[in-house]
Amino acid sequence: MENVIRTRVFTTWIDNAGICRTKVKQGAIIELADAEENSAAVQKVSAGKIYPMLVDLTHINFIHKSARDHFAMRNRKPGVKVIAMLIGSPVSKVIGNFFLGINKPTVPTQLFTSEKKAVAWLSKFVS
Amino acid sequence: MSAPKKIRIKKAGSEGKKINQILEVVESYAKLDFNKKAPIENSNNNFNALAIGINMLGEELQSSTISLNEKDILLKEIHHRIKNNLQIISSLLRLQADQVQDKRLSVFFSDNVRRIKSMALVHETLYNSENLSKVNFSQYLRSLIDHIREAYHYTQKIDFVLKAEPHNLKIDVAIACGLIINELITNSIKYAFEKRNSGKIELLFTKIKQKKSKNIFKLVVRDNGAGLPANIDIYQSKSLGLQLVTMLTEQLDGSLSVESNKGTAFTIIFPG
Ligand SMILES: Nc1ncnc2c1ncn2[C@@H]1O[C@H](COP(=O)(O)OP(=O)(O)O)[C@@H](O)[C@H]1O
Ligand SMILES: [Mg+2]
Repeated sequence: MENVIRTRVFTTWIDNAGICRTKVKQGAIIELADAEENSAAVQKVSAGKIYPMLVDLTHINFIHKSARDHFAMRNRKPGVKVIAMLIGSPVSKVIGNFFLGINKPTVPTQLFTSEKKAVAWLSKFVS
Repeated sequence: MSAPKKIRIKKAGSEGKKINQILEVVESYAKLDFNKKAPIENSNNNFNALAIGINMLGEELQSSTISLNEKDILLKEIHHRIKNNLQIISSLLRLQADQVQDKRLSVFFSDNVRRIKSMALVHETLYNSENLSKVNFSQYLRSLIDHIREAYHYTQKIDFVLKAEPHNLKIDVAIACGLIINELITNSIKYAFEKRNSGKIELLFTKIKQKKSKNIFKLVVRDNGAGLPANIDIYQSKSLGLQLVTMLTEQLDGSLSVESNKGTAFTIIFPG
């Protein structure tokens, strides 16, 4: 069975298709501690492997700069191969776009409004 | 003129009120006050998305504005260090000048001490000013003249007149100009009044025109002394001082002209 880690604002697991998934809880306001907890969770579920990652932002409410900078991974080794961000609501769209420019992660990152398309893109990076 | 009117949506319903709140935040960001944040709600409408986007842009703006300030402090520190290092070099030269017996050699040392000092003063002017990339040139000229007068021993009564418009120059341009002026003024002190007991040295700095993005400046160093010896061709000079002057003028992409009647006047026109 999937090993699921629940932190304050994220749920994180590896799915059957070999994609690392993390889902932001409804109305979450993400702070640096949450972001760090998320990285630790990703590292734990990955168990030494580097996965492509799907981040579901659709229910996010806010994310602070320190947390955005953490997810940009500029000063650390990335724990994932590529990132697909799932967006939908106006808020998640705005936040997602920050990750395409100002807070751009060091691994390739794309936004999707369709989970199917996101998974299809990520599948190309599954090893 | 009256104070600028604040743009506000009148008859604010609940949406108008939210827009007004966002406008206030944008206004305070424009004034580099990043404490204000647009209130965010736990709802997924466009207003909330707008408020969140503005708040996030404010955070990014704040962090880059702070690093701009840090850059200024760093730059100040660098100018300070360059000035100190130049000071050390000139102290070394001065010490050596004291050690050598040969008069010509000791003049060589002290000439170079003055040249280095003219460069150090550019950095000193910079770290003492608000603008760290452009030199307040009239301020620099004032301290350069003070320095030359202090460093050079002369017995005549010499009047120094500085007329400088308040323009800023880039560092490399200011350094070249400073070296040129140093040569010309020390020459005037040394040679113009050899058989007199008084004289006048004038230094003029003006902007003569503005060509699209470039300014054209004029520097004049003039004395009312003996005039240049007839056999001197400033462009074919064998001595280092005038060679430096022509070389640096070339480096400035400038032009040099000399008038020698009732004294000597050097005019340098250069873009800046
Ligand atoms: N303002 C001046 N008035 C009279 N003679 C000058 C003046 N400036 C320069 N000269 C003459 O030009 C010569 C060359 O000057 P310069 O190249 O600076 O060499 P140096 O100062 O080492 O003699 C001087 O030796 C002096 O005879
Ligand atoms: Mg000379």
